[in-house]
Amino acid sequence: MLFGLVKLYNVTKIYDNGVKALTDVTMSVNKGEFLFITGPSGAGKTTLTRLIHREELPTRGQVIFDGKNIARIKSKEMALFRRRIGMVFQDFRLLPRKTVFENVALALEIAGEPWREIKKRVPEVLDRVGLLSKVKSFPSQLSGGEQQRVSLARALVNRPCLVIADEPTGNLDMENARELIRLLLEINHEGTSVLMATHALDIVNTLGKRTLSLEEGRLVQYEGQGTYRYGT
Amino acid sequence: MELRVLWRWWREALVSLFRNGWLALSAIGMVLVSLLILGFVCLLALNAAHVSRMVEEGIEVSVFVGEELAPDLVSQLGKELGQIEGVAGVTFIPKEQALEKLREDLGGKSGLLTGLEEDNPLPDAFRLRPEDASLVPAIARQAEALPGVEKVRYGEGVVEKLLSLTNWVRVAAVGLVAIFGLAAVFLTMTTIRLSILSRQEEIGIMKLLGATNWFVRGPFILEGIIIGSVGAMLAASFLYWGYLSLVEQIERATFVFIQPVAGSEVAMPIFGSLLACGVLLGAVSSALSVHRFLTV
Repeated sequence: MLFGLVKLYNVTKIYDNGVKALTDVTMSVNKGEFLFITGPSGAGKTTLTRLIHREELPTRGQVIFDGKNIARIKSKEMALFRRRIGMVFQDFRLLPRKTVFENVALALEIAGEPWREIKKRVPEVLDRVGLLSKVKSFPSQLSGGEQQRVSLARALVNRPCLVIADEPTGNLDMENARELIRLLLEINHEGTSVLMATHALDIVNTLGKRTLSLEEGRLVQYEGQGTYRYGT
Repeated sequence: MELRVLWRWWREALVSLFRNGWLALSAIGMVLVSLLILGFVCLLALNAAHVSRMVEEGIEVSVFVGEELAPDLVSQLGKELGQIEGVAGVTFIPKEQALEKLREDLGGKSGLLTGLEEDNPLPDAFRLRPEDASLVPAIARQAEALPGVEKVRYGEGVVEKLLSLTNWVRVAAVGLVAIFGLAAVFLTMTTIRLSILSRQEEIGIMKLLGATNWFVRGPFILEGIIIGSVGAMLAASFLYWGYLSLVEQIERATFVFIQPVAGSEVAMPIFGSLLACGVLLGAVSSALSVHRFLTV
């Protein structure tokens, strides 16, 4: 029996400028699952991830994370909440003036981990994404694939229960994309839920994971080889 | 506050200053220049006020005694003059002393005065020191009314003009300090704001990773304080050194009769107030600039 980690109930999001990004979306991300969200550009994939990460609030409906309505999270608890979710972005979002080590360490510093712990865990997670040799490099000295793996390391270092990856392969070549997916599958195998928004259907079809499809802000039946289940 | 947090602020601030070397240097330079100008204007104002006070303290009322007055009545007159409201001190100048002074003033031409010792044409006089220069005309009027007083002199007309001049100097000094103070605040704030603007994205990412506001703000404020205090210390050092050498020049030039405020007297005010300005400016500008990017 799967247990819902994130649940969206009839979520509609209309931005201040009147753009309707999501319409009546009901879905869930189960504990320990690997879930794809597909759909063309502008379908609302990014809005969906931003709602779960509480960068946006729904206009209507509710987003429940681990049994708690995230709209009720107070600004003081916000920092704590976001540490439980690891984010990977299409544009990496690394701090340009910090080294690889510092970029990953930042997530632990924010979580208030002692320096002893940081010095132990950062090399571990960098080793895992194969970048231990680049600890002292700055993002501008790395390739796109390497930067994305740093970003993944940063997302993982706090041992989150959910990793949200928004078009993580969008800026990567085939080889680097494959490596990133391999890493995501690996952490999912260890029990972390993964939500990946992508329009790379080849990846989706190869992996055969549960897949939800968005079109113009609405959930529709996914037509590919992935398995589509509404709600649950 | 936890020591660990403070340590992180320091580490972050120093590393960031080092990595953004040029930006930090230009910010320090901006603080340096604006505080240098402000400090210069302050010193100018301080000296203007000082000179005004010296000039006013030099204003005295001379009361000349009638020739026929008996010696005991002269000392009686001295007491009465001392009781006039606003008189801080009375000095008696006998006619012999006045002649001696005149002889000194004439220098090489003092031969002109030969033979006058027996038949001194100068009167005895009292010199009244006022509590405040503005009281001088009133004191003179009351002294004139006393019996035995021949004449009262205080530089009528000139004193009034001088007083309005010194008052004007004071107002202008305060006004200048205020204007340049505002300019310094504006320049520093703009510079620090620009340096933070270029790191707007960093702030957003940190917030996305779950950073609290103080986590982001702390190092920035510390950075501002470091920039502000380094700029201020440099400005104060330049000013102090410049002022000392200027004072030395003035004191060496014998034709200048105005004494500037001594260097040792301005050292503490310069360093203290400029440092306080720098620290405050740096901290406040950083805090305000970061604040705008904190809501993500």
